[in-house]
Amino acid sequence: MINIILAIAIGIIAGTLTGLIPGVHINLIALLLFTSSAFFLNFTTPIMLAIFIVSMAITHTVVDFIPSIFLGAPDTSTALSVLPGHKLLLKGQGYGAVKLTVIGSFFGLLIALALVPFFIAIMPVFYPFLIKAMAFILIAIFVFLIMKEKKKFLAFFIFSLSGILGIATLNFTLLKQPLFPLLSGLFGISLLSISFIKNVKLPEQKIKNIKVSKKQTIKALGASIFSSSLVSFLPGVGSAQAAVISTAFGKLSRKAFLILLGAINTIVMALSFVALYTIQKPRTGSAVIISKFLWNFNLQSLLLLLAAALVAGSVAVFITLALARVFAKKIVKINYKLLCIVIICFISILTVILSGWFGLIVLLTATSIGITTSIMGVKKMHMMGALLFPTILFYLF
Amino acid sequence: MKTKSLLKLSLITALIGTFFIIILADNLEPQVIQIININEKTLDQWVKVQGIVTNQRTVDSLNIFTVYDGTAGIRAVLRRKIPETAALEQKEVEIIGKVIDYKGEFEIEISKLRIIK
Repeated sequence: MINIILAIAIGIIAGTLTGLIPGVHINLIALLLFTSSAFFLNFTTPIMLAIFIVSMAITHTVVDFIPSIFLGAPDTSTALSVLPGHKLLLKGQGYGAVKLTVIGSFFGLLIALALVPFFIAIMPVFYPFLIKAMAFILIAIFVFLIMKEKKKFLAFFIFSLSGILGIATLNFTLLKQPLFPLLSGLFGISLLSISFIKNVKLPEQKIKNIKVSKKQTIKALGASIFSSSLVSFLPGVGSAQAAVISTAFGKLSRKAFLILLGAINTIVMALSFVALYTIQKPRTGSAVIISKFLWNFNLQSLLLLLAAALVAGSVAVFITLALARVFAKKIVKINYKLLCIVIICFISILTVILSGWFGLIVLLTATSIGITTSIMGVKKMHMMGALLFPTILFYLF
Repeated sequence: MKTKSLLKLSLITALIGTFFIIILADNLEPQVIQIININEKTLDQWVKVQGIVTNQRTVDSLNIFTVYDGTAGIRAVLRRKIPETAALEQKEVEIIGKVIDYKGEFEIEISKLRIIK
């Protein structure tokens, strides 16, 4: 029992660190753990390592909106939060923006856990159908998004351009960790570059709630559970695609969108462990590593991991709000222009370390597309073509 | 939602999660299996066996046991050093490990070993 609590505690600490540092992903830590598992198994059991990974993963999904919103440095799953988060940051509501994602993560986790019996019963039945239908679902969403846009041609242009970049990047065998420079460029550095050029100054950050209507909140949570449950069980799709699918449920305010993104991020992670149990297919890096550790991944193991997820997610609420408070107070004391430069340099260096020099080319190209999108006045959502286009092709062929 | 309410709710759910962990923490390990039932179906599965160590030898840091539970015997391998005084021959042990195929024979790669008596 004490061992389990210790595993959860260490997992929460690890998840907090990985969540705060852009570019450091839980998959990296999980992989390191796996490669050194022979050493760790001298002191503990596989289930404890699995509990550590789950706790780290869930905590990460809550905390990682902090760098995304305050620093404009997202990872794969938080890329779409950069723009609405940044807009709220510029209004002095950075803390409120993070809190919205925390609300989404927390309630999303609770709803997902409550629906686990439903998923266990239904998923094996619907899974073969979903595999066949996924390409058409994504195509329908893409068409829907373009048709909703006022500048349809430009939106289609941006979607296609991003899509071509996505395909080229993801198929570039010399490039390791392709998603990092791709999404950092499209959503992170492009925004920071614009902030730098416009000489943005951050206003005083207020530590207060942002009000979102109950209707919008329920809509956001409902959309998130539906889209997350689709992608959690399927290969090649994740939080980013789930966010795009959710837009089909109707217009959400910027603030409700942050709740949606928070919920999706955590639900997708939590349900990936359920997918491991129901269809014996791991859908996230963490689930892959757990599948290699765990003996007889039975219902009891799953329930134990989900209980750990609940504890970790709950504690992550405290940690994230406390850290958001710190960030909100400190960030205004920093020269934001200088901060933009530092983050851009940091991401660039990280790109070279993770993806090599070719990664820089991807980063520059993606940044150009991101800046072009802003100048054209087209929604940044269309840049998700970088992931959607390859995913559609994956399912079609 | 007010921060205080959110934090109170998080605290409650953390306690609920901890409560479930306490209940589920028992019986984490696999059920005991008779060695005679170890076959292709159990390959790569984690199993628990109880039996007497009939043979023990050490090769570098590899400890190789033969465990017999009254139904059959199986080789079990522990890939770490144990104190030299821990001679386990004729002792009853409980082993948790993964069933692997080594040169056409099943053996257990030990994760956990406990001396019963």
